[in-house]
Amino acid sequence: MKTKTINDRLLESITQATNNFSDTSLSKTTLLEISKKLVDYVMEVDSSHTQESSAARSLENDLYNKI
Amino acid sequence: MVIKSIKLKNFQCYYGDKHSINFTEGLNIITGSIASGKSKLFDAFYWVLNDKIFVTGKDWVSTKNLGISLVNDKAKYDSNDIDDLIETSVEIVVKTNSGRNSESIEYTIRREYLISRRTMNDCFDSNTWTISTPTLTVEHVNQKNSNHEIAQGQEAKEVIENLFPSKISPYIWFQGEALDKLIDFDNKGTIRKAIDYISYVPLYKTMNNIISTVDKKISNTARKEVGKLSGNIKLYNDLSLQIENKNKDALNNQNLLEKKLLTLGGRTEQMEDVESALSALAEFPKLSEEKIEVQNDLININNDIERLDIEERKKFSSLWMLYGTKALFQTAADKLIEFEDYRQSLISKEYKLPLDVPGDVYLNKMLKNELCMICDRPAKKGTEAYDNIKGKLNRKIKPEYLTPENEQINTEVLTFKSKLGSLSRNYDSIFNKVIEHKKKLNNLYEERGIFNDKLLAVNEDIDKLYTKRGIDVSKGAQTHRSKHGEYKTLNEDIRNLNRKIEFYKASLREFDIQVSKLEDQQSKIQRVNTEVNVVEEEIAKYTKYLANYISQIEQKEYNKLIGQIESEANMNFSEITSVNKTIDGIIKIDRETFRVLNVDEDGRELQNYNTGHYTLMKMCIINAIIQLTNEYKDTSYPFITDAPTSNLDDKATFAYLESISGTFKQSIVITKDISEDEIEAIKQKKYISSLFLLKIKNNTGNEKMNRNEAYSTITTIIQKN
Repeated sequence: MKTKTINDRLLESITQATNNFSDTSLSKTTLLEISKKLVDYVMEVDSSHTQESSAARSLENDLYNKI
Repeated sequence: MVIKSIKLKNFQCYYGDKHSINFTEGLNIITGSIASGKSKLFDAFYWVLNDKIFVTGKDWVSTKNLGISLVNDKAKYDSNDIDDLIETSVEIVVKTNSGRNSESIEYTIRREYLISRRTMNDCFDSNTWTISTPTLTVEHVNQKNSNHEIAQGQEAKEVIENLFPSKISPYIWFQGEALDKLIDFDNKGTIRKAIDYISYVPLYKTMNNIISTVDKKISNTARKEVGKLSGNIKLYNDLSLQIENKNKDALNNQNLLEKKLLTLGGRTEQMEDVESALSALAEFPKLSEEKIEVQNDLININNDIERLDIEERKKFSSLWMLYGTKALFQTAADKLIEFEDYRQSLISKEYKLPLDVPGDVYLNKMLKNELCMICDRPAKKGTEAYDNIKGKLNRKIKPEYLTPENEQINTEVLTFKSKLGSLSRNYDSIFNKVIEHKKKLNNLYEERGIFNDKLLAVNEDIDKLYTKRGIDVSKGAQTHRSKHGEYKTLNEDIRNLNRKIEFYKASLREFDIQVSKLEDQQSKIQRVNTEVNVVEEEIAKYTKYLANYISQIEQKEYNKLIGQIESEANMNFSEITSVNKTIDGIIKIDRETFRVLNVDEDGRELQNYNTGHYTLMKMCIINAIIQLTNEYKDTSYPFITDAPTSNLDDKATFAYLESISGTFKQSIVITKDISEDEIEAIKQKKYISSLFLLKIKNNTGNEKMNRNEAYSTITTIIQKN
């Protein structure tokens, strides 16, 4: 069995809390993609390579590209 | 990550360079009797990474302040020349975990320290040596280019920080004595801090911060863009401006609130430290005041004694002598009374006229009759004969004794007699005064004895306290006073901070209401061009949706983790306590206050915990947080602890060891709780991977271990991998 990474666990907590984004008409694929990106940035901040403000700027750019 | 080995050279009790241990995964136990070098080995682990060691009673002490005490005594004693150089070093090799995208790397971490002899004076005197600054190096082989890379100084420190984050280290590498500081059940901040430092929950806070920042920025841009398409641009923009300003103010207040909360956290932590210090130092002012009080009482008593003594010497010696003359003066008084009686008898005697002189009765009769009845001749009035008879009237003869000179003596005798009288009246009071004085003096002597005993008892308590805490009583009392000052200042600060925090919270609630109203007004303004899509408006729908959920997830995960910590800690706690009937109960963490309680099945707090009880609860909580975090992050740190089980009995010790063998990929436990007799039995225990025995020895054959010749040795007893 594949071991869950910390990214998997963080993402899982988002999908579980939103019940797989079932309560919204927004694109589930987009929500999942944004969530994945968000989790990646959290891990970058955790490993002290990036600051929160810089991660927020990067995520904002990603959002313009996705939507 | 695992620690593969440790090598020591001339480090504290480890003489020479032949001391090394190769560790295995699983539970590694290092045992040895008292003074065999166990704590020094723990010091070596800590020193190589942190440049400091834990010293009982002094807390953490840096190499700079440790001086030559880090260097082995025998090595110093063996030196016999000026410029002799002694190297002290510790080297550990750690191997990181291999990850999805990375292979494991071996890092060799080495800290070295040199001293050179500059005089031939006492080798244990720090002035005899020149001490160099410790050097730190971290070596590893670069996976990409197979180059051997060496990091030094700050760079080396950064590698160590990455390998063993300083926030986590205290919880995975600790000495039994330091455990109380890590998790203090009276200091609710410590559990919260442990969760924030070593768990994965802060990741959710980071997630929340990132998405909220993006959401705010995108929403602002969206409002501006939508405004351009509005049917009432002026009103829309006006409302946008108001919303933006409100949001700016809210963000400003939010930042201020966070700052204040951070400051409050710091102040509360400081306050708890100050309170702990005050409570720990409470005995010092008490004993110091008691000593001063007893000393003052003794000074007063001694002054009273001296005063009474001087009084006695000056006054009572004379009075006592006077009292000694009582009999003499009494005799004198008696004689004087005798004399007086005699004189009185003389005075009271009727003066007798000579036989040839008639008495006054007879003379008056003769005068009346104008006739001398002796010679029977007439004595007419106015005649010489008449006057002659009359001249004989009132003519008593005083005794010769009552001469003026004698009467003068009599007057003096009388004065003297009256003085003797008053003197005799004073004799009794002199006696009483002397008795009373003696009584007072004896009472004071007795009181002085009691106070001297009290002073002895206080001094004994002070000595005990000094032995226990290594702090002089007056210094301790002085520190208590200054801590009390800090307490008052902090108390005031905390009150002010809480006032401000409540103000900012209320203002944020108010901003929320106002922004909602403004957004509501804005949404009612029709858009002119409905064909144009505003991309930010679209993005904001996603960011708002996620921001809303993630802030909920953050809180939920925090609560979930506390529940898991409780359950995991209780699982370990019940396993360990099942072998020890004196320890029972369930660990409970209060969600509001973060207080850790030991409760019964009905949730009632149990009283009468013992030290072992507390220690076990603390260790179970730390292990639970680490275990859950390792599981979540799929990572592992080696767990190293010295004397964690000193408060537990044998059964609980082994149950604890078994419990941590299942918690950590690698644990290194240094303990005195396994005796040499138990080693054979230990070998059978499956959960122990390696066992090492420390002993102190010398090469002289002397039984007495002299610091000049004794050193520690390490023997591998079990090595399963």
